[in-house]
Formats: sequence, C-alpha cells, structure tokens
Amino acid sequence: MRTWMTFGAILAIAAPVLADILKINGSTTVNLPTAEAAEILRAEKAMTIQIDTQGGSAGGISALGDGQVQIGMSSKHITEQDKLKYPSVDFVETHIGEDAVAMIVSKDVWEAGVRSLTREQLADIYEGKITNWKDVGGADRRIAFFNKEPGRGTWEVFAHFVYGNARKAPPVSFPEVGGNEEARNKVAGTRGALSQLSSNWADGKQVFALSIKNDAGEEVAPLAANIANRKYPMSRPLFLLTNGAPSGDAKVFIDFVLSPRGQELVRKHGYLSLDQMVVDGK
Amino acid sequence: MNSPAVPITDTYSVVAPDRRRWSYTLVFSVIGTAVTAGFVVGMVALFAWQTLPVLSHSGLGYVTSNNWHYRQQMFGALSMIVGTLLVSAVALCVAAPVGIGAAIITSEFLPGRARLMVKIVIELLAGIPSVVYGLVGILYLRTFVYDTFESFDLHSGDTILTAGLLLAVMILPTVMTLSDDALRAVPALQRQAARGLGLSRLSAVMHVALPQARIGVIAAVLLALGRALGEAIAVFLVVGRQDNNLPTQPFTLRPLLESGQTLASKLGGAEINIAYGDPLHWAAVVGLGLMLLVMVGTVTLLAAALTSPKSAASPPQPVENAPKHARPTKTHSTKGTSDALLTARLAQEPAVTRLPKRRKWLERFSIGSFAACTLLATGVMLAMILAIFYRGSSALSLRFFTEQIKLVGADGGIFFNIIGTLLLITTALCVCTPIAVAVALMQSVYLRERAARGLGMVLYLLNGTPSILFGLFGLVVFVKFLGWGKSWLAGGILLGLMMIPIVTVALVERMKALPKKYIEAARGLGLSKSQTVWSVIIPQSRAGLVTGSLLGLARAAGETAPIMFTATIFAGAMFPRGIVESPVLSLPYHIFILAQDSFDPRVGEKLWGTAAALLMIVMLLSLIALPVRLRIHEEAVSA
Repeated sequence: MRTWMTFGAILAIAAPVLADILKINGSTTVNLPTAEAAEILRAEKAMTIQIDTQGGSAGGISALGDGQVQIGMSSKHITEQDKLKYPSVDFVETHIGEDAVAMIVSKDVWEAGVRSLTREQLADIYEGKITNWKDVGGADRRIAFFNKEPGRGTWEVFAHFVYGNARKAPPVSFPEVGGNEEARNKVAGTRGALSQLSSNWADGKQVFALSIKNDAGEEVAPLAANIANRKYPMSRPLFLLTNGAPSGDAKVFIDFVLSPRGQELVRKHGYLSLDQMVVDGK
Repeated sequence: MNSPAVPITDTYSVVAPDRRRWSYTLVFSVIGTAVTAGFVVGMVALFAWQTLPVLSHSGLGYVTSNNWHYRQQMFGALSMIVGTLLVSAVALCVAAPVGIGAAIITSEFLPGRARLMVKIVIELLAGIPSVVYGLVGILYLRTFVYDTFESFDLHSGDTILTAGLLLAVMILPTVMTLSDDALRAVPALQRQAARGLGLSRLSAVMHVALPQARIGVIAAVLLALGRALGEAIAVFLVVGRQDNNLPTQPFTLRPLLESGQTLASKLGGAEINIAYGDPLHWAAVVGLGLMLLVMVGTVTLLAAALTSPKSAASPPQPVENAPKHARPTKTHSTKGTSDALLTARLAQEPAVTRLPKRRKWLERFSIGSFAACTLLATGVMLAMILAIFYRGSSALSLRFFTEQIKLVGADGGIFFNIIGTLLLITTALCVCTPIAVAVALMQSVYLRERAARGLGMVLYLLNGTPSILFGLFGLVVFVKFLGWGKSWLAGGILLGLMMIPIVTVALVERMKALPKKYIEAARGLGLSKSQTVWSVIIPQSRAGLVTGSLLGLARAAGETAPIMFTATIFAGAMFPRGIVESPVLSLPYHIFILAQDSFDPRVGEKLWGTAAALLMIVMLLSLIALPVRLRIHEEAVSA
C-alpha cells in the first residue's frame, strides 16, 4: 500500500514540465561535429542539449516531422515523400558542410590491385551480375558486399549516383550494416569486402577508399579537392534541419556550427567545411 | 461466515473467512492482477489490431512469400520466420546436450556443496545482459566462425551459425539449472532401488532418473527455446541482417553459413523508425512482433502445460533466475530420514556391479563427456567475464564513473549512464513491487486451484515474452499514443512489467513454504483474512520479495530492447525534469550504440569499460540476493 502511495507521489511531483531542452536526432555522420559542438555549448552557455542517432538521416527527418526534436541531422536532402508524409512541417535545410561517400574495400582487395570501379561495375555488383573480384581486375575471390541499411544517408548518395534516383534502385537483399563503425569493422574483418562508407572513415590501413572511374577513364579519388569541385561524384551535403527558420536555442546552436569554431569541428571530423567548398568554386 | 464467497486454496484453508465479502486487500489484489493480465491481453490485442492493414494488403503472402522490400511495399516475411527457426535450432542443438549433460553431473555426481557452487555460478552468469553477449559475439565469435569455416568461402563471419552459437551460450544456464531441478525432483529412493537391482550409477541415472525427469527436462529445453526465438539485441549484432536469403541447399551446412535475418533482429533495426507514420509498413513491422509473440507463446505455454498439471498455486519455475528450492524441498522432506539412512548404508557398500570391460569404458566415457560439458559450460562463461574485465580494466578509473560522456564516447565517463540505469531500475522496482505482491496474494490466498493455474499461465506467458516486444508495445503506447516521446517513466514501467513474473514466483514459492501453524495461530488470535495477509503472510515471505526483486532488477538493468525506443538516448540527457520528452542515458544502450558506431579508437576501451561497469551492477544485484538464496537452499537440504 505504502509503495503505491510513494509511486503516486512520484507521479505527482514529476508532472510534465517542459524545460528548455534542445533535442537533436539523426545521421551518425552529422553527429560527430554536432555532438562536439553540443559539448562546447553545454559547457560555455549552460545549454541543455540531447543528441541521439536513431535511424540515421531518416530517423532525424521523422523525429523532426513528429515534433520530437527541434533539429534533425541529415546527410541527404529532404524529398517530396518526406514533405508529403509531414505536410504541416516546413523543413528548412541548413548546409553545414560536405562529405563524400567512398566505396571502401578490405586490405586484400586493395593489395590485389583494385583501385577503382566504374558506375556500371557498381550497378552490376549491386544487382548481383558481378560477384567475383576477378571480373573487375582483382583476385579470384567472391565479393562480400555489405549494403548500408535503409534510411542511411550514405546509401541514398550511393543509389543516387548509380541509378540517378534512389527510388530507381532495384530491390536487393545483401547483409546490411548500420552505423559507420559497424561498416568499417566488418569490412576490415572480411576478405573481399566492399561497402559504402563516409570517406573519412577509410583509414588506409585496414579499409581503403576506391576511386571512381568516370566516363573519360579518369580515376577520381574521394579527396578534398575533388569533392569541392564536384569532380568526385558521390558527395553529399550535411544538413541541420529545422521546422521553419531556426529560432531560439536551435538558432544559437546552428549559428555556432556555422561560426569559424563550429566549421573547424566539421573539418576536424574529416568533412569539408563551407569555405572549402566556396574557395574551390562550384 | 459465508465461506463460498471467499475462494480459498488448501494452503490457506485455515485463514479465517472475512466478516465482509470484500476487503481493501482483495481490491488491491484484484487491481494488481487485472493490470498484469490486462497488459498481456492488451499487448496481444494491440499487435493483432495494428497488423490488420498488412494482412489485407499481402494476405497469406505475408507469411508464405519471400520478398521483403519495403520501398516497393512488398512484405513477405518467410525468410525471417525460417531464419528465426534456424538460429534457434542451432542454439538448441548445442545448448540442449551440453546443458543436460552438465545437469546430470551437477545433480547426480557432485556432492551437495559443489553442486550448489556450480549452480550459483551458472545462475550468476545467466544474468549477463544480451548486449554484452552481442559485444563478445562481434569481437570473438564472428572471427572464430569466419576462420573456422574458411573453406566454405563465407560471405562474412555474420552467419546464422554465429547467431545460433551465441544464443546457445545465452540459453545454456536456463537448460542447465532447470534440468538440474527436474533431476533433483526425482526421489532418491528410486535411484537407490535401481542401484539395489545391480544397475551402475550411470545406468541408474540414464534409465531411472532421466526418464522420470524427462518432462521437466523437456520443459527446460522449451523455455530455453522461447528465449532463443525472441532474442533481438545479441542476434542483431551478429546475424548479418540479410533479408530474403532463404536457404537453397537445405540438407547441407550451407544455410547455416549464410547471413540471415530473424523476426527479432528485424525488430531491433532501423526499419522501426522508418516504418512509423506509414500505416502499411508499420503494420508489416508489428506483424513480425505478433508472429514472434505467437511462436514464443506457443512454446512457453507448451512448457507450462507439460509441467503444471499438479501444482496449483504457482507456475512451476518459469524463470531461470527464480529460486529453485520448492521441489527439492518437497521430495527430500517427505521421506528424508529413511532415505538418508539408506544412502548412508549404500555408500558404505563396495561397488554393487561388476561390469564387462567394454561397458565399463563406455561408462567412463559417458561420465567423462558429461563432465566435459560441465567444464565447457562454466569455462565459457568464466572466460567471457574475464575477457570483459580484462579489456575494460584500463578504462575503469574514478573519472570514468564521475564524468559525463565527451567526444562522442571517446573521452570522459559514464556518470549519467549509471544514473539513468539506476533511475530506470528504481522506477521499475516501484512499479513492479505492488503489482507482484497483489498477484502473489491472488495466486496463493484468493484463487481456487484452477483459476490459480490460469493466472500461473499468464505469468508464464509474460515471463516468456521477448523483451523487444515490450519495447514495441512501449513505442506504440507511451511514445506515440500518450505522446511522451522518450521518457524514463515509460522505460521504468516497461522494465517493471517485465519483472513481475520473476518477483511474483519468488513470492509465491515463499508463501507456499510458510508453515501452516503460523496461519493457524493468526486465526486463533481472531485475525481477519486481510490482517493475516499483512501481519503474517507478507512479513514472513519478504525474503522471497527481496530475492525476486534483486534478480528482477539484475535482469532489468541489462536490458536494451525495452528501452531503446522508449526511454534512452545516446548523449545529452542528465537528470530528467518531467515525464514528457524526458529521456535518460543508460549503460546497455551506450554499449549497443558504441558497438556499431565509434569513430575514435579510444572508444574501444571505453566500450569495454562500460560493459564491465554494467556487469558489475548486474552481478552485485545477484550477489546481494545470494545469502538469502543460500539459506533457502540450506533449509531445503536440511528439511
């Protein structure tokens, strides 16, 4: 009986009090600089900021759409479907930096001499027409392809490049990977492995980033210069999303990320900051 | 006065009838029971209702076709059903023989004390959280499977086999402890009679004890199967999560060496977040939960039906963690003294049997392999714990426990994760205790035999329900319907509901063991039924409440699946200031996220450190429960 009453008392005290909490959810890629920015703002401006990375970019978009967060982190553009799904939400994208998606391979593939793939080869691998590395200039070993799981910005960029539109990508069923570390870990530990991964996670020791061979036969590596001038085809913008123009704490936060210190964080985590994009002209 | 109005079991037939037909105690008991039963019924109904759209869209193809492509609105879940069955089959094929073999050693060959020690170690290890198993699976088991089966040209180390082996380790304690209980419940006299007829010790076990205990052993295996079917987190991390990969060469090893997907691993993945808001996709996802519930429910109820025909007031040991004293108490106390004399006399005699040489070797070989099972079981478990503490030790410092996360998990500590986990389990305790007391009273004081058995079934079902389904239920009800978003309270309530069967069973066992004379004395003093409950029955059974709660808390502290959608986030939450939109950090979720996403190499050490910290909390809770449990065992042995 007494326990019941205690419980009731707890309920009463903890009546819904909405405090000034800035909530953020979404892409694990955008999370890296964002989380560090949040740490700085928590310390310097005593802001209360909660960050989660459930469901990747799609998770960020739906959390913002549902009104669960004030800022969504996304590594892909808002689509018409998103707008249809949340008609009352006015999605505003704030561009905070740029990232490249690389096709990464395990060490044995790299050492067997595979350095680049063409768009057609990627499509064939994705559709299961090419299943052995020897067909693309490597050793005789089955291609262990790990597909990024649905909803991840990385996957959308890949599908957009290979098929022109993510919705045109054929339905396939490969083993799936979620977070970036999981992808890197699995590629590093598997012979003949291939996956899509944010390029800055390719350390050049365990996992290696392939170049993309364009129609002119030129091998374009996912390097800063190539990303900035859009020569490397699989790059993607990093966004902080808000419902309407940023205001209140969300504005303070986004302004900080856009400030020189915030942009420094973007560079620190291996992405291109906005000024790098502009200087090299697009 | 009007006794027909007050149903009573034979245990408490001496409790004085009340002067009125109802009492606050009865109302309390009814409410608690209604909440429990209502939750079980409500969850089934909710899932069934939310599944309807996909059934009208895909029809029977939802379960018979093999094409799950949500972007194309194709929902055929066959490969997940097959995957679930395959993974569980692998787990059973490994865990059942090893577990039963080990149980034969502990129950038949080890002296009382040694047996107790092994059982305690195994039960402590049974509390290792599934996310920790997953972590060990990623780092050791994947590589082991990949290298061992290299000649099969595996796609990767994430296979059905990897998941099955990991599950085998996870369900081993369940098989072992429950089989041991079943074997111990066979009266010693039977074995002695067999020995008297000239059977060897092993033959007496194999031909007398084991056949007699078979129902209990089968139930043990079924309960373990239930757990294997429903495990989400650990399987998620090592099964490869490949959709639509139906086995093509059914009678080879090949299907086991492919990546796959299970119902539960799908529910642990990213599609949950994407699906909500699209009624059809969401229905397809919830339908997976419903299928899982039906599968696990069938297995669990089968186990319950097998073991329960006689015992009325309590479900027979549905939990691996529940105290196991009841049956041994009964069997040993009835003819204790004469048995003991007989045993003593038999022990003095030289070997009764003279076996032919071949038989003798066979005998030795069998006992040897059973002993190997015991060593394997305890060895694997201990090695896991040592590995975790070894790898995590470099992270463990005072700073680690007092600072908050920095640099996305690469620096700082886990202070708020510990706070969050403690808050969640404290809430769970507050939710669970009154309900469990109410249900236990209903079971042992108010209900007649058949109704009590029905309630026992409900508890059984609740106990078997996969934890990911609590998460799914919470997502629908608390996060979305009530609009709480992620809230510590939702997590606490869900974990509390999960604990109910563990605590109730422990309580009921204690109430059953209560000497009748206590109640007779209470009656003699003219106490009413309610007064007897609060002044005699509850205080005398509090040991059961304490042990049950501690074991329940140990389980709750390590759960990831119920809280990942409902209560916990990765970074930034501190002390909650309300209910709505008030998430907390937690230890298991921290491990789950960092295991998939960690940029900085320094995260590795923090990750293992967090696992070690979580293990410490879980084991501490189990250890505090130990003295009480030991005393119960002693009582059982000396009775």
